[in-house]
This record gives sequence, C-alpha cells and structure tokens, in this order.
Amino acid sequence: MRSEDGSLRYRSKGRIFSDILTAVRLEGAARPTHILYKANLSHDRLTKYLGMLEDSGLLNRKMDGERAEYSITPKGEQFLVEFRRMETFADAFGLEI
Amino acid sequence: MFTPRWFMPYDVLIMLVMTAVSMGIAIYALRGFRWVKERSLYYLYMAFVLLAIGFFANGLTLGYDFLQRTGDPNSFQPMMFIDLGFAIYFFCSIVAYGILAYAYFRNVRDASIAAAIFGMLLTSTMPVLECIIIVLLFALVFAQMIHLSIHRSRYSMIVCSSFVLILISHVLVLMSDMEQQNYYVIGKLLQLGAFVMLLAMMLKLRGPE
Repeated sequence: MRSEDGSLRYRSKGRIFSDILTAVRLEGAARPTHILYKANLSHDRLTKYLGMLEDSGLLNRKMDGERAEYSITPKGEQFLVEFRRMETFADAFGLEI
Repeated sequence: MFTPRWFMPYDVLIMLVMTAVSMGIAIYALRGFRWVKERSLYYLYMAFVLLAIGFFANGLTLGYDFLQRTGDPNSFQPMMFIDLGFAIYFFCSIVAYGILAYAYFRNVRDASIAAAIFGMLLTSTMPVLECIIIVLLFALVFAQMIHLSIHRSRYSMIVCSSFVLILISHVLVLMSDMEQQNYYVIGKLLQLGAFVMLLAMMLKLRGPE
C-alpha cells in the first residue's frame, strides 16, 4: 500500500483487519468486491482475511442468494476503537503498528 | 555514582512511583497486544515490565539498607544486598532499553547505518553499565527525534521529552560523586518527572474516544 509520501508501505495484519472492518462499517453490509476495492487487497488475501475475521467474531457473514454480505459485530467495533488507541499509543513511542 | 544518605527514602519513593508507572504502561501495551496482535506492542510490554522489575528491586534493596542502618548506625553492611538491587536494576534497564532500541531499528531500511552508529557509540564509551544505558537511551532519543520530525504529535512530543529527561538523568547520576551529590538528586528528580509525563500521556490516551 502507498503511504502519504507515495512510497510503498508494509501493512501489518492488524492494519489490514482495521482496513477491512472500516470498509465494512462504512457500508453497513458490504459485499466482498466492495471490501476488496476499499481495503486494497487481492482476492486470495481478502478471502483469507475475511475467514480470519469471521472466525474471530469480528465480522458476520450473511448469504443473500449466492452472494455473501459482511457486517461488523460489536466485537469488531471494539477492535476498531482499540486499534485506533493502540495506533496512537505506539506512534507516541515512535513505533508503527 | 553516589547516593546521598539523606536522599535514600525519597529515592525509594521515586523508584516505587516509577515501578507503578512502568507497570501501568506495560499492562496497557499488553492489553493492546491482545487485541491487535502487533509485535511492537509486545516489545513495549516487555521493556516496561523489565523496567518495573529493575526499579522495584532497586527501591526494595535501597529501602531495606536504609532501614537496617537507621536501626543500628554502627552496623557494617557488606553491601551485598544493595549491590544485588543495583545489579538487577542495571541488568533489567539494559535489556529493556535494548528491546526498545531493537523495536525502533528493526524497521529501519538501512539498518547497517544504524548499527554502525550504534557500534561506534558503544566502543567509544567506557564499558560501564551506566554508560551502556546512556548509549541505549541516546539511540532511543535519536530514533524518536527522527520519528518526531516526520510524525509530529502531542503524544510523540511528550514521550520524546520524557526519554530526553531520562537520558539527562542517567548522565547526571553517572557524574555524581561525594562532592557532586546534587547531580544524583537532580538526576533522580528528572527521572521522576519523565515517568510522570509518561503517566499523564497514558491517562490522556485511556480517556474516552
């Protein structure tokens, strides 16, 4: 992913979780193609991360015919709050998460 | 390094306050690690737990030594117990600041430059424990200042300032001797000030979103 200065930047697992959850949260109920676009992930990686988020109870999957729709759980909302806090905390020490 | 006897009870108190603040930061970092599973937070947790252990051991042995001598001023203490406290304190501090330095420099693209600067500093100083801590702190302040020049935030300013104070305090403690007892006292007060700043930053962060 490109940072503000245009250079390539490593995204940690936590940040990818946060990007996916933020994309889903903004939509209310999001389809994988929308998440893929917003979170800037390949299809394979997105499938892997959606599975992980669902298993951790951060996302809910609902089937609409053959298409899946994802929504954020209260635990997912809590994750986003904690992630933002920890981002500021680590940043204060000059560390990136 | 010289600890004035009259300052020992205050020194114990300062050590206990710094133990509590360090444990608070460590617990906060561990809580964050449990949520977001990021190694940076685990390094912060490890570093501050070690600092807390070191401060506690030093405070405990200083306090015990002070009470022992107050009860019987003529008693001769072989300094074994107080030396053990200092040894634990130095060991924990070196490992803790080393972990923090590693956390800062592991992501540096040209780590060889950082390692070269660090190596030069290590070899150019006396291999005394306090000197090693000062070199590690210097590296931490250097890394934080670079970070601060890119991401300027209030919290980064507080953390960077507190590490500068800790660095100055260790230099003053190193310079203290029988004639310069004030250096030790000022150094310890600066260290307390640094940890109070870290506490204030953490309390502000823990507040509502």
